Amino acid sequence: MNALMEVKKKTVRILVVDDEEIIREMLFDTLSQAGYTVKTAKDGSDAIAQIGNESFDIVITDIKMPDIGGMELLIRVLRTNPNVCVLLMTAYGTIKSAINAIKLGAHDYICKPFELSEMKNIVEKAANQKGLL
Amino acid sequence: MMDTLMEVVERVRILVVDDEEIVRDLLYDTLSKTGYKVKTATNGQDAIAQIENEPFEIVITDLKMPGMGGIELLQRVQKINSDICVLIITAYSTVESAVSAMKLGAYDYICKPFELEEMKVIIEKAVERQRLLHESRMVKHYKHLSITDGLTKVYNHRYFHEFLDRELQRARRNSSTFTLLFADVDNFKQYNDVNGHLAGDEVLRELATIFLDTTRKTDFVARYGGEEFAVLLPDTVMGGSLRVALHIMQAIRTKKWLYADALPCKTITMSTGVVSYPKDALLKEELISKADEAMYHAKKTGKNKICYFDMNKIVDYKEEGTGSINVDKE
Repeated sequence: MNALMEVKKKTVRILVVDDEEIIREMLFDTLSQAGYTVKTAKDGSDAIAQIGNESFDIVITDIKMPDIGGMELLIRVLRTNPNVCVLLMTAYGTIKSAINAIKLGAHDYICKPFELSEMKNIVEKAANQKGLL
Repeated sequence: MMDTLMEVVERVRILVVDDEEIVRDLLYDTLSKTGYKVKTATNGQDAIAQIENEPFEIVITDLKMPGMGGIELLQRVQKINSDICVLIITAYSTVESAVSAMKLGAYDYICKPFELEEMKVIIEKAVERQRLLHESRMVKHYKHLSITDGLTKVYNHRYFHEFLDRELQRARRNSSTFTLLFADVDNFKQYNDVNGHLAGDEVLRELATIFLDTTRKTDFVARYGGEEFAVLLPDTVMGGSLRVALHIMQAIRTKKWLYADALPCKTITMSTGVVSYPKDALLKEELISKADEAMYHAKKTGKNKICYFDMNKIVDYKEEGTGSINVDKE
């Protein structure tokens, strides 16, 4: 990775939202090592509180979570800032929910389990498309 | 502009693309009975040929077809006309293909076998979307027509008055100041008589461009009448406006004009009047008539200059140290 790319990646702020600690940590480690600035939230309410305090470029969220789920989080994130890139992940992927997610403005919909390298690629592509890199 | 639903339905053209005859026929019958104008295509190439030949609002396509598939068709349709709603239907659906079709801009993704009623509802929604899209474009278009001057593309007389009303209210509320500038082309009749009206129109168009280029984005430029332009400069005091006016006049005088040799200065010039709110007038009518008065004073006293009100008296604007600005007048 060249120095310029390193600096650029550092400026990309990512929020990882999942109620499963192991997923949060895995994504945190992978994306931090890839050079991004990463924070985590343990559920939807936590995510909304953090988003109210600071701005993120990319939000990666699980769909099924207690109280506020990923779909609602998607809607609320885009309502406050339509430029945020929201990636949804789920272990219960259905075509209906996938179509619905993209119609609501999700950038991508990823089925669990996924390879960490795959997630890294998806994030890099998304950051590129959003003009962040 | 509001059409009844039936009128809208009758105008909607749908293209059904599927290599399976039974699906084509089924959709053709159902949608034709609902009132849509439906055509069918047996494959992607056939569909593209038809779309290039006649307009469609909605394309319903199968995903898996020999030759060009639904995704490629979607991408080609979007290149031809991105307004067309493309619905993908498929028997081989996966989450990945649904996500990729939607990300590429498909309007919807429907799994076979589907209920005909469900399909009808989806089409109705697509039709509604098309109608809203069309309507908002028309509203924008008419709004644009109603506020711009056809020849010069700057704002027109009617919208100038509306804008002036608004600016006046704003200035009263915020106790702010603004200035109004009226500028009329000198000897324009003579120019038209010698060169014809088409050449005259071209001068007006180019003047409008100069006005836009030499003023700020927040200033408001309108064609007030025949060869008269008006500029409203929000939050600007007289000194600043006079400098802007001078800048405009210099740009006009120094431009290489075609056929301007017949004119006394061998170039296009304007006579300009400037007034400021609230110093010179408080009411709209008074502002306009004073700006007019200053402009006519410039005309009467030699043209090619800027006049403004100073303590209720009309005076010429002189460039610092160089005397009157009309020094280069012959």
